[in-house]
Amino acid sequence: MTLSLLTPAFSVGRNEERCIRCGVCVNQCINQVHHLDEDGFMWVTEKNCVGCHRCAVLCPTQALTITRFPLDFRPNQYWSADSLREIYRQAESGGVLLTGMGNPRPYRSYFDHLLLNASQVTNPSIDPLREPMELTTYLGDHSAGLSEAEKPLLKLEIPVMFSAMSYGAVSLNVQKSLARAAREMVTYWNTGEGGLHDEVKEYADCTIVQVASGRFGVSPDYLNNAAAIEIKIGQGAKPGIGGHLPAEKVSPGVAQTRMIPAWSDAISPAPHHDIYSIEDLAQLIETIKVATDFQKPVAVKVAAVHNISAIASGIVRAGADIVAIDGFRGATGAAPLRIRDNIGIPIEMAIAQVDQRLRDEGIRPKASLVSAGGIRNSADVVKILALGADAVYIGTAALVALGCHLCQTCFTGRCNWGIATTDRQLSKRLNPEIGAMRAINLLKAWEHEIKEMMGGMGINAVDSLRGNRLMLKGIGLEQHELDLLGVSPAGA
Amino acid sequence: MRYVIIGNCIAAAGAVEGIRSYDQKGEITIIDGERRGCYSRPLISYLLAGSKGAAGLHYRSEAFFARNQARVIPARAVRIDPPAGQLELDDGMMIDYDRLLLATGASPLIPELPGIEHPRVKTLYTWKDAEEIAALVETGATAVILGSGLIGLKAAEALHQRGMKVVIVEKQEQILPRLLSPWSATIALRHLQEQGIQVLTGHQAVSISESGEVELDHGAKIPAQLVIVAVGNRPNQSLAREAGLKTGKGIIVNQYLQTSDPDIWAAGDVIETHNILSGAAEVMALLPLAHLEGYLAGCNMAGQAVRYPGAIFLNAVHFMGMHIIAAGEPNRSGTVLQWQQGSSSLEMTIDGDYLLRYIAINLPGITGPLTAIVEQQIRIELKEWQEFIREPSMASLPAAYWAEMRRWEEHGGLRCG
Amino acid sequence: MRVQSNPEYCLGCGLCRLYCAAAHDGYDGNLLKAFKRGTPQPRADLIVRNDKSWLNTCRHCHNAPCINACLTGALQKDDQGIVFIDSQRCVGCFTCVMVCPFGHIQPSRDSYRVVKCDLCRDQKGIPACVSFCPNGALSLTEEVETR
Repeated sequence: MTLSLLTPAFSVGRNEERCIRCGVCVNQCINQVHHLDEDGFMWVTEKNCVGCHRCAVLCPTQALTITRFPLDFRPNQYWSADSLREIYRQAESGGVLLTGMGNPRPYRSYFDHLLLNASQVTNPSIDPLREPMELTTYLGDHSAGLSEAEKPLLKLEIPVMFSAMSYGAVSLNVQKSLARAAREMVTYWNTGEGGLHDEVKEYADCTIVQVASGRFGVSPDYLNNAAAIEIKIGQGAKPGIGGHLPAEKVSPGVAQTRMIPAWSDAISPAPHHDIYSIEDLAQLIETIKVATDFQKPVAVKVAAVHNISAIASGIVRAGADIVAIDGFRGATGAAPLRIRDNIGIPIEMAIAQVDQRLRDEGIRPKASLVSAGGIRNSADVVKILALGADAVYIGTAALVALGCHLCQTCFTGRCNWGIATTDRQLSKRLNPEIGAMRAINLLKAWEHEIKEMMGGMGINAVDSLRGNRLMLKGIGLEQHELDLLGVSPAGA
Repeated sequence: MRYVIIGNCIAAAGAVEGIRSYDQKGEITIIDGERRGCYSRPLISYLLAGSKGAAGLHYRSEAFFARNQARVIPARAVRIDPPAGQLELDDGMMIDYDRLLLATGASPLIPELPGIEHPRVKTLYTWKDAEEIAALVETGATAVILGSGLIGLKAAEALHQRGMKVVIVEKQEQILPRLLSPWSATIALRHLQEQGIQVLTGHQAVSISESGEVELDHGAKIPAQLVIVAVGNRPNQSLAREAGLKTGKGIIVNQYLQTSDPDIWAAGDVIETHNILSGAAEVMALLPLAHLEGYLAGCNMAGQAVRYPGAIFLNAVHFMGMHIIAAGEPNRSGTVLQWQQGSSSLEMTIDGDYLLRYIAINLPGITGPLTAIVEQQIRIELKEWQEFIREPSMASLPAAYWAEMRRWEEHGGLRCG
Repeated sequence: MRVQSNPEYCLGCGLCRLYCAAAHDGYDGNLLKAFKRGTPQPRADLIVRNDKSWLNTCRHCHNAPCINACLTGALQKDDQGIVFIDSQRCVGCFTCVMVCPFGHIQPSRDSYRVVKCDLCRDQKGIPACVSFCPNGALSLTEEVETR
């Protein structure tokens, strides 16, 4: 291959009146975009820039601007610049296009077409600063009769948990940050499928451990060193395919935690090889419950796909205490671009449909419903709870709180923010004390906002919000969409 | 408690600080024989050069002594009467003490030469000396300096800055014989010569004529307007000796800086200090030690029992833009490593796994750690030093040093004080 | 009281040095003015060694060797325990440089005096290096180095 047809994605602007040649941009960019000569000459290699803003944020004189590279193709509604560039890339590499984080395509976001209600005159709104407001949520099987023993439940003081992100996909400092925040806020963080590192074992009471198709790091100790166990069947960012942690990310620490050789590929198969039916799933759930002496709830996580309601019904019948559904905006450390961008369905539709189906079948109390993938803010949380979820998982939002700028190059392992990396030097960049503080701040801010919105609706307990679709109105939606969501149009 | 300090110099200031750290009430009296207040001797060459005014000479201001309620009596002590706990001053006054500190310092050695009494032959040791020399300075005339130690070189620099032609006469074959190795002395000598100072090594003066002509041992005669004698110093221990205290080359003290009389302590240039490296008691007339010794003696006079572990030889001197810093044991041999780049150089002597001595010229930045390594006898293998000397810098200091540093930070405390 | 450096979270970015330099010599924290118009000098240096880096700042020792060694009385300890230098009185003999076991005190750029950390005692608030460290690797502690 001779000349690359790819031009830089970003342009790096340096204001010479402000640049003091301090070299912070140079030492902070792992992609080697900035260069500084001994005689003070600076230049940039723009094609390396991924637009992560690390340099611009740390530049002490705000001398840097990162903009889209101003080289436009002839306008074409059908052949977008991205589609051309993707072809150039594949014509050079001959490989599958890889990417990170969630689906960025301009598919309709139903969150943005739903409006919340508020009380006026006929019923009073509630001021959360003056009156008690209950966000406490219990996840698990609530169906036990009066004479039966209570099933194990997870207690959350805020219906927001941190999504599964494995050590390997993210740095240990990310897990430490989220684990501390989860403990402080009385909620849970999830190990992902990468096992449990020694240094986060102390957070057992707020940890959900995952059992996925690779079964990395799974042992009786692992299962018992947690508040709950989640069987991961699928992931919103890449439904139907497995995972592949490239060898270069399998550092000795990752290897030990996953119980595999260092610097070898960690492959998670597409399916669990012992699960080919609901009955197989029931067996695994039962096995885990036995291994943990029926003391911990078992969750099953699936991606939101076409026939999700039937699948969810089967999962509940298989004995799961919690069903986690991951929408098509859910993120990942690495996925083939075509898979991420073209598979799955919106989480709003999935939750609305599953909640309705479980109610119709009379099994809704047997399991809690957790919504994952694409929750951006507290209003999204309130809307998805009103559509029927008991709680949400946040991944992308949590990482953004820790510094992620969504450059979508997690799969390279060279994360300038110390998040999606296992490199020791890069991992340092996230001080878990600061990370925890930022994650706690985010949840506290959301907590305030959720209470404000609930108060406005005249609701003082999150139990009264769950599945309360009367609190939602659709705007700009077709009738069939409104029907699927179970909401009436604005004005009706 | 009545504390009396004889001498008003660096050690005295340290002692006041030491006493006041533990005793806010006791009476402190300082006998200031020079009647100049507490000034810093090394600064008198700056006064002579004209780069510092009289106001800048004070080491501790009058306000310092007032704040610490220390009374300064401008008088000279002539006799100590230990059984009576009394001190006699030159004006006949008697002072009672409970605890006495001798910080009587040292005086320049005057060689026995014909003509040494000549009025234009001076020493540069006191403020008064500097003023007297200043009165004799004549631009363009020649000044002969006998001795190329620290005082000799600082005198040479000052007189050179005042426009005099300066000739240094050094008995040894190299300049700064107590500080430098022959290799580093050559570098320093070249610098002096480039600055226009004439240096005659391997020679000594035999007489000074009435006209002020200095005759050297090989017959050469140098007509001089001014002769500065800077051939060394000797502790002022006559008071101590007459009081019956144990003395050697200097006053002998124990590790608490106490003399053979339990009510009398001594500190500074007048004492024999334990040399950490040689294990011997030696007169180590070094300003950095004077303050520490005064401070520790003060603490102990106020009832503490703080050990003084001793010291190593160390000195920092700069003249005419050249900075020389050296520390360690000059008399022991070992593997010598040398580095030179531009005007900077570094020489290290290593014996086994221990650094014995270093001499850094125009390379001050790394000397603090090197001094600590010598003083604390941090074990570092020769091959690590060989690696370090390829590019001496803070970052390339051997790992063992940083490990020791971390240990200090974690556990607190060096082996000193 | 002193600034503690935690190599575990030091990025080696060097912002501490920049803000330190701008916080002194009358630049009043103005980085642009300091670096565009002046000759700023940080009071503490960043040491980068293999894969670790840290700010080699002053421990403000008890019975500090630099104060003991200072020829002129320029180095002093204030009421808060901060070891600082009175630049007017410093003659640049570097005796303090020679005795600082941590190698913290360094010659000024012109070699006529020395510079060292003064915990930004002339300014309000916490030292500049601590407040501008992007990763919390620097902290102000009350703990005193015992020597």
